[in-house]
Amino acid sequence: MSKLERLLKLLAVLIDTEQPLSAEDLRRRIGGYPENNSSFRRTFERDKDDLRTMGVTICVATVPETEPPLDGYIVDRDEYAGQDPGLEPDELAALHLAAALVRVDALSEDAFWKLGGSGTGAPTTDQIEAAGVGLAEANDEAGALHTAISERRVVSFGYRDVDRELEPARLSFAKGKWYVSGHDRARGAERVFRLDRIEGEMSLGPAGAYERRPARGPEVIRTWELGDEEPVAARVRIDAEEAIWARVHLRPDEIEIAGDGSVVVGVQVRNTDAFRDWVLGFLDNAEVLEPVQLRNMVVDWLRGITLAEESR
Amino acid sequence: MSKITATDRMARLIAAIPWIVDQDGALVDEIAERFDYPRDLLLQDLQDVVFYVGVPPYTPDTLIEVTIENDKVWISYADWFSRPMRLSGSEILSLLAAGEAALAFDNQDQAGALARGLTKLRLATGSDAETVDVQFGVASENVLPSLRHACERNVCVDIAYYSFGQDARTERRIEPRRFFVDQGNWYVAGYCHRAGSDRIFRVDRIESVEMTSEAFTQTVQDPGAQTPMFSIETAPRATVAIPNDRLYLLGGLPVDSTQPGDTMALVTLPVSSARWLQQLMIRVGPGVRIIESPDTVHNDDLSTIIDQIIVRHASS
Repeated sequence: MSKLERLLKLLAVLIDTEQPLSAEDLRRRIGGYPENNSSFRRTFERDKDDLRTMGVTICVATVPETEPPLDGYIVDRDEYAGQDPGLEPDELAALHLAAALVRVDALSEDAFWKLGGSGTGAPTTDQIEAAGVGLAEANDEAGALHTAISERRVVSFGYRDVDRELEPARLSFAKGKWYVSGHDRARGAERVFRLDRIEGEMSLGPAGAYERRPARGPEVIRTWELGDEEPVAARVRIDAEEAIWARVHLRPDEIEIAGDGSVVVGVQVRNTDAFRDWVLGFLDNAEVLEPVQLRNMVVDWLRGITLAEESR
Repeated sequence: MSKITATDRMARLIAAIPWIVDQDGALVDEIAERFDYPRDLLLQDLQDVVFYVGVPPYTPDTLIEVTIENDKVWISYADWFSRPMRLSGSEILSLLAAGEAALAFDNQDQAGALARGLTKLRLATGSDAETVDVQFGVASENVLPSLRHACERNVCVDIAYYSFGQDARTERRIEPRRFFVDQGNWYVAGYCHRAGSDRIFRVDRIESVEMTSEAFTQTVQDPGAQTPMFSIETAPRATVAIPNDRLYLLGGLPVDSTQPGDTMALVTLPVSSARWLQQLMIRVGPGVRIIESPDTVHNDDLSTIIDQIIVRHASS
């Protein structure tokens, strides 16, 4: 029996069965495994590994009424198959074209096969140099967290030397990094974590473990809002040269455009250090208009630099 | 065609079987194309393998039925493989990412096939906008679609662009050839007529894009070739002393070496422009010192720009 036939039969039997089947039982039902016991074991282990590499979840559970307990194997039919999005041919073709245009490094053809194949007649994109999109190193963790969120599984991981238990609610890819936000059980509050800073292995708990609550994504642009200080309303003028930054990154209700092309930005500051860092990134193209204590803070900061220069 | 392994064929078959089941006679050629399956191998696998797959007792009613006639395939009794395998979490995220990014380039299609497909995909996989949010970079309205339109048609565009290194807003004619994303920003690469060489532009610094009637010739590029932002290898180096508690500001920047000390670290790093180094120094703040800087960067310039910002904030 060819390996392909054996693998297909193994998967069909594992999906078909109502209760976990032992290795010996599977060997009998499928046939075609080596006669020799130890080479059967090796082949059987390799077959399970191959199925798992393909993405099949094989559950290991005790075979009922065995003493001593015997390990059995089963594939949950509903876990194996997903909900079919039911894409129309033009929708599948559009997605395929999108993937050809925007080359996402982690995306392979397999994903399209599961959606009904690559679609035929998709226009080629020879004229367009593809836009390579890196989804960062933490893509595997992001995939696992996606599963955790959709199945409402609590995830446990280490972060800044603390063990966390998170009810994940929202995955965000922003500023070239993955973030997860949700309810941090130990802190009893909503928290945002950067996936590339998760320490060690992440483990997923059982499904349906919590009620979903809304969560905010990371505010990677408005870093001055990420703090616990009493909010202070500040106004900043950004000169015409760099006004485009504010027009692109901020909401229209946060900016006023002046006649000379400069913009005045109104923000709520909860983190003075982040605010200063943001304003000074514009160098001489920005000015804190108010309040006066933030104007003075900028001056003091800059004087601190020059003093150190002079005292050398 | 490189050798196609048993597991490769398996992955294709368990995806192809449910699709074939749903068709009333699928063309062999179409199956081969959709699932990237060499035609002869496909026919052989359907006849000699799939036909014998089933569960005990392997009687006709527990075996998959495969009929091949006039270049068409019918499959029935394939209950175990009646639905395609679930998309993995990272496959879903990658599909959404590719789709959302492509939508940013196409303002014609907000209600079109791609948008509809993405919505269905989000619904079926429990990834609504509340739970999965993929942002690559932002741009002024119409900037990305116009650039792509020009890129597809090989037409030059005139852009209004803020150049950070030169601290100047410039008008320039460019040949948009390639897009990429890095650290949360979109970039467009192409030949710049003003500079007379290939340049990279950060899309969120492009204020406007005007189509022109001037065509350009697409050069065939090595697909792996990437014009770097600036050449890290050949850029001039600076060595600066940075207080230890401010070192985090260097996160994500290319750094040659860091010499740790009790309160300060000596850091050597490539410098893209004088202005870039100045803003880094000023953000690092009190305690920062330039130990060694390239000819293009002068310590006096740093003092000058600090004085300018102080003057601006001191007088009111």
